[in-house]
Amino acid sequence: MFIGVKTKILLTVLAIVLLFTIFSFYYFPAQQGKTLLTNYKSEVQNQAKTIALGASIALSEQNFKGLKTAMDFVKENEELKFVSLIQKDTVWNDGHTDFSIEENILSSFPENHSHQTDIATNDSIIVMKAPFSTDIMNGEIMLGVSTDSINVRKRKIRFTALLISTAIFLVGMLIGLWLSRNISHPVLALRKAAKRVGEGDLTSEVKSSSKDEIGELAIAFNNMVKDIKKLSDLTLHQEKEKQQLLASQNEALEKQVEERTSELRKSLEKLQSAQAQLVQAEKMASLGELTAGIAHEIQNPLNFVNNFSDLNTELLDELQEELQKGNTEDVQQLIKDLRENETKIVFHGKRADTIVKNMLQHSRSNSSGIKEETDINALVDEYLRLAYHGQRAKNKSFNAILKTDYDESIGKINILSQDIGRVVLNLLTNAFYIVNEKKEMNISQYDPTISVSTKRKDNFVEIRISDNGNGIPEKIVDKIFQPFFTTKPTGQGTGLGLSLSYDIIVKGHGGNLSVNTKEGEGTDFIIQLPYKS
Amino acid sequence: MKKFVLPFLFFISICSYSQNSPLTVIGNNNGVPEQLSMVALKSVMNGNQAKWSNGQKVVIALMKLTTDAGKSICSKIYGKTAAEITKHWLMVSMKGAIDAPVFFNTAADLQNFVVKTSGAIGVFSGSVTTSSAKTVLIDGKNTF
Repeated sequence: MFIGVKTKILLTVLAIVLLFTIFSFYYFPAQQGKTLLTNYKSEVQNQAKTIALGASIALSEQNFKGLKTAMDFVKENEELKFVSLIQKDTVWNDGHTDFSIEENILSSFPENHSHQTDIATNDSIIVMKAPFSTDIMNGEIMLGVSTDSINVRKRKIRFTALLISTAIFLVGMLIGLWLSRNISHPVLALRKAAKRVGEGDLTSEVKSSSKDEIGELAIAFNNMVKDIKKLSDLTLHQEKEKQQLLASQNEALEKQVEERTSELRKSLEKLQSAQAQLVQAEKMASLGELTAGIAHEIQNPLNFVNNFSDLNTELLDELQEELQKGNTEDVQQLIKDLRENETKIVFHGKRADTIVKNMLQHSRSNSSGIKEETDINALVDEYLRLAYHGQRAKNKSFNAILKTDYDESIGKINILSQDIGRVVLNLLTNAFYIVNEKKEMNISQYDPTISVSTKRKDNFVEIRISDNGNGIPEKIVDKIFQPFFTTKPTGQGTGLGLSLSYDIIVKGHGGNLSVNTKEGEGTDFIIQLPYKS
Repeated sequence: MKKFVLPFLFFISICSYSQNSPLTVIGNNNGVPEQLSMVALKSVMNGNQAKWSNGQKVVIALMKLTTDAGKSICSKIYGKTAAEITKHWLMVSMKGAIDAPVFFNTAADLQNFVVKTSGAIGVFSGSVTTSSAKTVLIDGKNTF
């Protein structure tokens, strides 16, 4: 709950004023009344004692006039209710073993007033007793005085207290209002000015004419606002300078960025060009491998064609001689041989034609980038032979054991056959390279072996190409799919084969290409192609 | 035994003498009658009479009750102890109708007071030493 300064001051002053009011209205009259009563009692007691003393003297002297004079001493008191002379006798019992005090009122004033000897002080009367003792008798003077005058004086005191309390209250409240006005107004003005300063108005100023701490506070506040304004102006000026500097720096930076971007764009273009060249180089390398295989495939039927053509040439010479001799039987035999040879020539020619057509079919079918139903087993087997013959074309002495295990249940799957063929060729070329390298290390009882298998799994087809080479060192196995990473000597590999293969399998077909290798024992490359891609 | 009896008897005789001292009544010439009966005297002495026949206020003068004469007054006139007489006069005098007696230590002072005070009547023991006061006969006697 928020309580303002003005309210607090008013409440404080009100509390103090109320305290004073309560004091002056209740406590002060009560104390005055008590004091008044005490004094009056004391006065009455003194009067009783005076009368008792007079009675004592008068009785000792048997001067009854003196006693009367003593009694007259109080008779003029308007508040006197009664004054009595009480005689006390000691009354013994018959055996004189015990006694009692018998009190008798010998005389009273006024005469018609009657009371008991044990009457006590109450609200309406003050009763005081004073004993006396003479040779003749013992007794006491009992003096009863009305409290009316005391009550009247009390009422006057209370009335006076009421007036004083009212005056104190009014004056106190006026002082409170004055204080709250003189203290809270400057404070509220300070608060208002502080709020305005908080909202950013640094022209706020507090006007205070009071020459006290609040006045000093107002002056200090005004000075503070002036200092803040100076500081703010300075900060704004510096901020503007900074912004201008920043703007100019931004402009320069943008220019630099543009320049750098342009340079980077050029570099990227160069890089892309270089990459394209490298990819082309890789393709050409792949083509080289392929060409060697193709050449070997075509060379074989061509050799048959050439040999049988040469043989037919010789047979035609012999036929011409036999015709000139007129040897009909031999002629017939020679024609028969020629026909057989021609049949073989046509057979091998057609075989070469088939090989070329197949190659052309592969190249044509993938040029559009559209996947088509492909017999994966045939594709893999074809590229196995191409790769093997390619390797043998480069190294006549190279021999390897080829193991194949094709899952005939696979059927045809939707792939980019040229790309998959390139991947298979790349992996096989690497495998042949590796086993050849190991064989050249002249390890005893080492037979280079390449295993190719296909397997249909639940949702994919797995092509596994394994070799028993030296394996891939563990420290580089994570890098083999990175572009331009190669372990081959300079000039023999671009480092893009496995990288491109990875892209073809993973990005081009949504499959996976992984490797299992054990150093010194061999490597398995596993291609996983979605069955319905 | 004789040592104690004789002083005791002497004390008793002294006491009885003091209580039986002959009393004389004198009166002021204004208002006080020449003679009074014992009954009338006792009545006056008890405050039953406020004024004399001529209207003069009755003023009683007595020897202090602690004196020998006073003791004799107690026994012969009041037949009470000094305390009882004091109580009596306290009760009477405080009412204001009748003044209490005036007590004196010496007969001379008493006689002098009676001479000077109109209506005064005094009782004392001894002889009358002034001619200005008259002796009031009680039952026809100067002393009793």
